[in-house]
Amino acid sequence: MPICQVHSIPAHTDRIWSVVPHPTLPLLACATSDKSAQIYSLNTYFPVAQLDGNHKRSIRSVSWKPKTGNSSEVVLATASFDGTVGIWIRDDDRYAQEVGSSGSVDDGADVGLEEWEFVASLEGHENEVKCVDWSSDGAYLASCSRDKSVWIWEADEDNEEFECIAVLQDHTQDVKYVVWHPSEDLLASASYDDSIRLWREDEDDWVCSGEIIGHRSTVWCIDFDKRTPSQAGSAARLVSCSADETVRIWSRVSITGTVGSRDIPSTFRSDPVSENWNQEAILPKRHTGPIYSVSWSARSGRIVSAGADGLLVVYEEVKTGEWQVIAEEEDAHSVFEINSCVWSRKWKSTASHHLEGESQEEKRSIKFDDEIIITGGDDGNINVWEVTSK
Amino acid sequence: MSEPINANPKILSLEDLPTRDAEREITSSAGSKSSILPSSALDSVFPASRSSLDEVYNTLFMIASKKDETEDAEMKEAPELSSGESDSGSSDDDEGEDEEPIDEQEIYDLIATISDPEHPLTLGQLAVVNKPDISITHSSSPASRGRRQIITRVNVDITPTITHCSLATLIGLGIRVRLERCLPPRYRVEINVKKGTHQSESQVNRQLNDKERVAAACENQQLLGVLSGMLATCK
Amino acid sequence: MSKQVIDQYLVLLEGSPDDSDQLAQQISNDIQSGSVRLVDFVQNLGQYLTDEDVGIRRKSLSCISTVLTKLPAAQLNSRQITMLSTFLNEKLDDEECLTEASAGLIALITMESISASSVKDIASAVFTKIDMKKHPQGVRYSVYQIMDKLIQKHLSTLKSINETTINGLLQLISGEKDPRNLIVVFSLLKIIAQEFEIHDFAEPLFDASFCYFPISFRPPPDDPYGITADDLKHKLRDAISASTLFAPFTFSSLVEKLNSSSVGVKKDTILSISACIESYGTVVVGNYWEKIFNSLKFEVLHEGEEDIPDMICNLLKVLTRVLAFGQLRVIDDSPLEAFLKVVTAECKPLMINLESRQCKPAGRILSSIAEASYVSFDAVAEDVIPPVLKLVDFTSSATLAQQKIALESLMAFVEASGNLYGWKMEAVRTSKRENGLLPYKDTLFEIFCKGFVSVPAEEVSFKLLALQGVVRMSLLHTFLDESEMGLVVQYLDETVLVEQNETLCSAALSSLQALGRVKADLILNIAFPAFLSQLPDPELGDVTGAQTSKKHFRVILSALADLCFSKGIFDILTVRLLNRLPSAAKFDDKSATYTQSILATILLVLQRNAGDSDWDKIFFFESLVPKLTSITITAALELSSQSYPAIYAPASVRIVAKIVNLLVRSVPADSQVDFAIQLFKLFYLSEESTLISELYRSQVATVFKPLAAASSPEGLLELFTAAVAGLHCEVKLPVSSAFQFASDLIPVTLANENSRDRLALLRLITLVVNKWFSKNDETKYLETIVDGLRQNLTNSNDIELCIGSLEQLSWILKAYVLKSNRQAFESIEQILGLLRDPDMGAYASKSCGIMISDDEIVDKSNFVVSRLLSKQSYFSFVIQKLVDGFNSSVDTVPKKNYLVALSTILQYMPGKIVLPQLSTFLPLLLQSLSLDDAQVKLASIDTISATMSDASSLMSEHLSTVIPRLLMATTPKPSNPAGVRVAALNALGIFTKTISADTLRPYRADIIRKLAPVLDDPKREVRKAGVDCRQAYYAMDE
Repeated sequence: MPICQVHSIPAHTDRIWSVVPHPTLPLLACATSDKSAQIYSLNTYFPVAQLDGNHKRSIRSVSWKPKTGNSSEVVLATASFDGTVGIWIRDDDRYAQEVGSSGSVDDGADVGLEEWEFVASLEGHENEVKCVDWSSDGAYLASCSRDKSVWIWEADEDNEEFECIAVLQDHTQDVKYVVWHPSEDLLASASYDDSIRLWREDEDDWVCSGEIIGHRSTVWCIDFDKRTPSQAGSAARLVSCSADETVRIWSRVSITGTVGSRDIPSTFRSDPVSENWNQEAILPKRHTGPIYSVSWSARSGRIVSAGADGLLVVYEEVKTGEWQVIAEEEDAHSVFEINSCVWSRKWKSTASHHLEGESQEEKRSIKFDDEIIITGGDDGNINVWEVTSK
Repeated sequence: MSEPINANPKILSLEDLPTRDAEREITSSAGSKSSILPSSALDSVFPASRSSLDEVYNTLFMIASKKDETEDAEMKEAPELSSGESDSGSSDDDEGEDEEPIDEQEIYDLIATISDPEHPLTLGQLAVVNKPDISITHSSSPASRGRRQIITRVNVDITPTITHCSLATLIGLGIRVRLERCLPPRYRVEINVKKGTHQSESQVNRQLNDKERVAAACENQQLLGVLSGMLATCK
Repeated sequence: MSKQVIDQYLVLLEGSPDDSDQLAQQISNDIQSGSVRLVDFVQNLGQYLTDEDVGIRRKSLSCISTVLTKLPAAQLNSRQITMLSTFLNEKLDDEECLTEASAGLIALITMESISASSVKDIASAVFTKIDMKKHPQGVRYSVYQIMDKLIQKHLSTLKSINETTINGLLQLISGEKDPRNLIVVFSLLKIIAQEFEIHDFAEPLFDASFCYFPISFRPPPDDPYGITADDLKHKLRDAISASTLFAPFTFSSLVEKLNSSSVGVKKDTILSISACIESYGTVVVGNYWEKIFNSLKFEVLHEGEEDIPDMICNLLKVLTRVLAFGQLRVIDDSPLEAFLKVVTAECKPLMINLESRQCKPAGRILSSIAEASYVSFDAVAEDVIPPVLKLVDFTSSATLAQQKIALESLMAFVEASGNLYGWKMEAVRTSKRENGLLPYKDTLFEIFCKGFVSVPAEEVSFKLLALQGVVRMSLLHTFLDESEMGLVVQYLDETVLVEQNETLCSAALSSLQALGRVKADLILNIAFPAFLSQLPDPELGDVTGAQTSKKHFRVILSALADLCFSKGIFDILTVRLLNRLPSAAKFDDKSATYTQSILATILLVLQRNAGDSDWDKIFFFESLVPKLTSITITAALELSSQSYPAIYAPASVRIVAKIVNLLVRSVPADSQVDFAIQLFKLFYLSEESTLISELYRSQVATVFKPLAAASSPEGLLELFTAAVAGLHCEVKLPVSSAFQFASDLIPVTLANENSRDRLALLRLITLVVNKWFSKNDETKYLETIVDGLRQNLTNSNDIELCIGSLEQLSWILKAYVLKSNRQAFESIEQILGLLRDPDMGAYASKSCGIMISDDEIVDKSNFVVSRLLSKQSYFSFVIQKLVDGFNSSVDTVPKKNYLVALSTILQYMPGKIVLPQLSTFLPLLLQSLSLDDAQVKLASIDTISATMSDASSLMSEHLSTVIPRLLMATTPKPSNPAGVRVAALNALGIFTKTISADTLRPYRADIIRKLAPVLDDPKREVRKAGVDCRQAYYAMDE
């Protein structure tokens, strides 16, 4: 299957660390090495906001707070090498007026940038914060750092007071990446110590409920399978990529002492929270050199991976545990390394109604080729790709 | 200053460091003699290569161009300066024709002059970097064949002056920064401590090749200060 | 005499010292003449001297003192002196007047008839009455002056009161701190120590001076006395080393100071110790050497800071010399014997233990001890050399690094022996003894030879050391014999001819030169044949030398050139080379490289020694010039049965022309006269010329007509012009008139179709006009010839003729421009006008360059008349016109012509001329950066770089335009050849040095990023420049 580049945003003159689309809005956030984060419209690919002035060093990672309930707030968390996590909120009154005009490509250019407010700086990590992620219900924010720890924060209503509710220090080296399970209160973290750890709440404590060993070098990035229906105890899957040049799929085989039995006081429970994960597959080897990023599509179930070799690879599951490469692109960012690749919904560039994002119905109705891949690289470009069936 | 970690390192004398001249000498004597003339004092009075000989003429100012015996034909430059591509004076510079690809010696020259953080000596003199421990490999992927823009890997093995040298990481970082500044983006640099020369090889190697850590390190002003000190001697 | 005089004096002393001085003189005169009696004088002063007012007392005293100082030494009798001295002695306790009293006493002390008793009285008065603590340094100084005078004048008397003096002085000086005073104090102490009976006072006297050690003194910025720390250190050293009685204290106390952390103190201590060693002498030092050695060795063995190890080695050398003084052999149980025993016992094991870090330093100690004296040398050498020699065998390369150290130690001994027994290059033989290494010569020599020959090639530094070894040995007096030195020379030849490593080759070559200077026949008999034999022998069809030699003949030839350090050698070389010429030329390939290289070799040597006065230029002028001329022309005419195309190949002729030019201009006018005649016979008149060998002379005369319209063979006029160029202006050209000659040449030139001949003719005309024209000639020439050519430009529509005339004009005007004859400027203006012309513009732009270009022939070195301001006036004449022309012209072609003209002119303009005008044409310069013409671009960039350092401020204003254009010039494309790209990168680099960081910072990130592609440039030199440039910008903010 051919993969073709549909757009390229010359976002930056320097390295782009990470690109993240908003779960429901046509917005793309991008973390860069010039201490700032940018936000682009996925309708027009025009910049809509520049978040800077608050971090003292590179921004390594960004995460959108999912829109919950009826709140219209748009919130972004930024993780920086300066050891802090920043919380930014869009000034919505102003946004409302502007989007009217920013809808269409032609006059999008002369739209002034949105106003964003820096509302909180989360301090506590000893040094570089490498990743942040909001839980799917927006209740928790996880962060990880070179200080080998993973922190879980709880936010108040207006996102200005954050309370650290857990400091998890089981990793023996830097923690490179954290990601929440789409539906469970389950956090996964990947580390320089070659391991992946899983964390969940046991009573009032957050504990390490599982450890995944197998990679032979730094695990750079992980992502959950977002399609597997997940009731308590049932299967869950996770993809991981590593400096050992492999992409691996892991699946949960058993889980004890959790969700189902939450109501029983722990004192009566024999078994501590624990779950076992097995390696289900190693995806066909394509990459040479460290693989920095992997993403698992919620729509097509496809996986995309990219890394130092500038190669962009798309995999599809033929049958459970059996994967094939359906598309690959060399030098996706010319000769530069790719730091981040992610699936996103494809947005019609003429639609201001996307303001309130896609409805649940829409989501299900989405066909494979309604999705795009967004990549960010050392060349400072954001490239947009489509896997076409023809 | 505090007691150096390695007070008496082994030092190579400058004559023993590999140089490009040495290389050229050898090849030129091996290769056919009349084709490439070795540089010699004679050049000052009588340029070795024919092309530069003609430049002697090119620099002369002749205006009139009359039909001439072939002998002198190439010795005159077209006075039609309006014609854009006049290869004025630099006919020896046809691009591509004699391309000089980046080779091990060039990499060596880039990093051998970095100075050691604790001795007033270069990494070359201290034999921390050695030419045989530098290798260049071009991407083998079929699609990339025939393109100049192919990704190229450079591997440098460094030899710390002593097996417990705590500065190995710093030195490695210096080399990485130097190379990242001096090599085109299509080059992928990997720096490792040479096998069996350091007690904590693997940790050092891990750090030196962790993109994120290197990037973060380079945002540390104080560290950057030390690095630029080391790089200041590069020439 | 009346009191008024006194009063007068006292008054004057206040206001005008000079007058008071006068008065004092007056008084002393009166006293001499007897018109005033000393007694009266003093009595008249009487009451003042005792007045309670200090001022008055002081003045009156100074009156006496001044008068006394002005009296001749013989004036007073001992009674008067006693009277006065007793009086002044009394005054010494009058603290307010001490200076004045001292002055008086000093005057008395110098009196001839002063009695011993008075002297003693004064001394004891000084000791008893004065409490130095109470007085400022100035006053104390005057007191020291008394002591100084006493000791100078009355040493014996003071010695008679030995104890008093010593004790007195000791308490007098105790606590002195003032540098100027200390200088005196130290020298007093020195004399005491040397002259007095100090046996019982040794320690206090020693302490008195040593308490000041180490001296740390930084003179104040405005020090009136200009006393330096070194002055003090030396004086103190003298004092400490003054008496052997100090020895017991000296060494122990000094040695302690070695523990000081300050390098300065250590150095001072070392110097002081060796000062003491030298002055204390053999016997005394005999008791202390062990202490000294043991306390010093550490610093050497563990490589102390800076040059301390060297200083110590020198000290040990001094120590040894003192111990060995006057001994012809090491006497049993002598301190020397013991000393050597200890040292060798300690150092030898280290020296022969190649693993030890102290191996090398130990070698240094031993060699410097050896160097001290013949006895020590023999002893040490005998002890350590044999074992070290045993250590060296070049079997395992693993231990090579260690064996290198052994070699270095041996090397140290070779040097030591040289310094002790003498070198060959020393004019006068220093030593009559034969070298102490002689017994070990054979092994030593063998080892170094082996080390040089049999060690693998990559061990460069090792080989280098070995090579230096054999060379240094050959330079030793009475050491290597003829055959051995011959062998060395052969090794060196071999190296030069075969070795691939640059460093070794050049080392070998310079060694050959060194050897040649002391023994020329080595070069003649061994090196020369060896090198010449390596040259290709075309008779055997070997043109490249591939068969005969490992190295290219150009390398061998330049080596031969390097060996021509004397006229004699060069003479032989030229003969041998010229003999090869025919065969070379016969077989040489089309490029004629071999022939030309041979000729170039001769040229090279001549150029190198052009300035050297003891090279007999006339000799080579007379021998070489005809020979080469003849060879070239006969070859060109193909008169001989053989044909030698290579000899008259353009490049060959050019080299010969250069040689001829060089030789002609290096001889005085009178030896040029006949040559000039012969020259014109050959080229101009086609008569028989002695410049051609007899054999062909008449033939040449008949067939050789280079100036004739259809002249064959072509390309030889270069020779003519080069020769004429060399003639002094006062040598009259053998032609009817210079003017006529220059006029006749015009049509010839226009007609000539061979570019080289035409260029020669153009230059010839320029030379004649510039060197042999009178003022009138110049004017006339402008009105006639030049005017004619200008007519062609305007009237003729034959483009060929126009171009020809323009070329002609440009060169003629050049002659005028050089003389800054403004009459020519009118014509220049016309040429500038042509820049607009669609057909002629391009040519005109070149013409602008020609008129001012630096030319190898039309040059001061060829006695061309060149006014100081010629360039200046030309530039200021054209620049504004160019700028205006550029601005006023609309379409690109003329614009371009102006730019080209500008940039070509700029190439030849010194910065100091360009600078003031820079602002006028900088915009044009920037424009020309975007032209697609490489040379223009290069010229502009060079100008920018050149002017950067002086015009940085001006440039800063234009950064926003300059930088982008320079960046553009770094991308490879035909109009950006490597030269341009490098130049652009260097220019950008210079900015970081000349423009303030704040001005530049805004561009930093952009420049660094935009230069990334340069790192992938196909050319290495460009990448290098790119790397350096980027680094410069990275470094800006770090």
